[in-house]
Parts: sequence; structure tokens; C-alpha cells
Amino acid sequence: MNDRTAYTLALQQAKFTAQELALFLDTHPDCADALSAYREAIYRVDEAEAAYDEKVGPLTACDAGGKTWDWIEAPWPWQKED
Amino acid sequence: MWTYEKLLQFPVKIKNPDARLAKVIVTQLGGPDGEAGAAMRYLSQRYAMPYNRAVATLTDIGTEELGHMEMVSAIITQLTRNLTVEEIVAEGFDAYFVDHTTGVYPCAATGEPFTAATFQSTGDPIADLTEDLAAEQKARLTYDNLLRLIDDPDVKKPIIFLREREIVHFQRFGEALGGLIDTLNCKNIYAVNPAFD
Repeated sequence: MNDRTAYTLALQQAKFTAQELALFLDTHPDCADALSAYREAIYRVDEAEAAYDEKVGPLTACDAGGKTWDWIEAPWPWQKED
Repeated sequence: MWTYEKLLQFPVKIKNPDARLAKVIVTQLGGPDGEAGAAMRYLSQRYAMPYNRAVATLTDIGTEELGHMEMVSAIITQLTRNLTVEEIVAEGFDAYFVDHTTGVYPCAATGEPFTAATFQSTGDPIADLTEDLAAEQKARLTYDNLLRLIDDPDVKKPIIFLREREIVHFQRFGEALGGLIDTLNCKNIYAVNPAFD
């Protein structure tokens, strides 16, 4: 597994965990355990996002724009890695 | 993938309900040149683009169109609050009301449900981007027609904003198409599909 694939997978896992907890909280907004797990998950998302931005590239257009507008650079998510 | 932001792109604050306007404005949600069709068109077409600037343009405009669906839906919701049955009948909203009450349903002003039959994804980037230029013009003229029917400044303001976005998108698609044509093999003088064969 190359670095790009590893950082991508780590971010997908962190974000999916947070997404799943957020969906659960939508119908269980008073569940303290889920809320505490969500806060932990969001912390992991922030960490994984920072690593992704540094090692792979901008996750959103808000993260883009170093010396050049790197938002437009391939690969796009649906393009297979070489 | 996408993440939802709990924020309209431009404020929608309508004081006076008006079912007559809701009935025609709904066409910019689900009609032939509406925002749902625009979003689906651009987000479908981007996979065939052999040109990063066009991929980014279609992704970003397609995403913005999803936000425009929400703005048009907010306008319809606010225009149909607290209506009496007498107002619904007098303002010609009864046919919509009987099918959808005051729920937001993507359809044309003439009642046809939203359909993907109003747009294409041809796998030919030049054909697709040329369609996108026409699509932005058609959406702009639909907003022009709506503005001819609207007096209320609360409704006009967000509609004027949406109309201006069509003009900017037309400009960006023109640049994306021009840039793509510049990258073509110089022997491809008729701009035949550069993404296949």
C-alpha cells in the first residue's frame, strides 16, 4: 500500500465512524455514550484530515491553493491509482 | 463524497406567502431547465472529462446547483406557509395541493415530474460542455421570465442572485470548453470526441 492509499483509507475510516455516529445521534440525540464517542471520532477525523492535506492534497476547495490552484489536479476519487 | 452545510448560499426571507408564485418558481427546482437537472447533468458528465479544469468546473458547479435546489425549495416553502383553502383555490395552487399538499416536489411549472430526459451525458466532453452552455442560458432565461411575474422584493432578491449565477456559470463553462479545445490534437479540426478511441 502506497502512502496516498494509506492516508486515504485512514481518512475514510475516521470519517465513516463519525458519519455513522452522527446518523445514530439524529434519532438518539440524548444518548450520552454516542455523543462522547462522536466527540472522540471528530477528533480522529481532524487528525486524519490534517495528515491527508499534508501528504495527499486538498480534501476540499477550502484546503486548496498553495503556490498554484492544486484543487484541479488528478487523480480524482473515481480514477484508479497507477 | 459530499458533506452538508446547514447554510443557504444566499438568504431567503419571504414575509408574504403567494401560492401563485410558488407554482411557477417550482419549475426551477424540477422543471426542464431547473436546478435538479443542472446538478445531475454536471455531476454525471464530469467522469468523461479528459481535462482537469473541466472536471473541477463540473464538480464545483454541480455542487453549487445542489445548493440552488435548496434555495429554490426554501422559496417554495416560504411562499406556501399559512395558506387558507380559499387562497389555494384562488391562487391556482389547487392542482399541486391535491397531489403534494404544501410539500416540496420537484416538477415543472406545467406539472410534469422531474426527469433526467431533459439532459444528456454523452461521453463526449465537447458535446457535453456545449450542452452546458445552452443549459445555463436556458436557466437564465427562465429566471428572466420568473422576474417578469414577480413584484415582491423578498422573492426577487434570491431569484436575481440565482439568475446571476447562471451568467457566471456560462462564462466558466465557456472557458472550460475553450481550454479543452486548445488541448486537442491539431489534426482533430472538427473537434471529434477526444475521450474515446
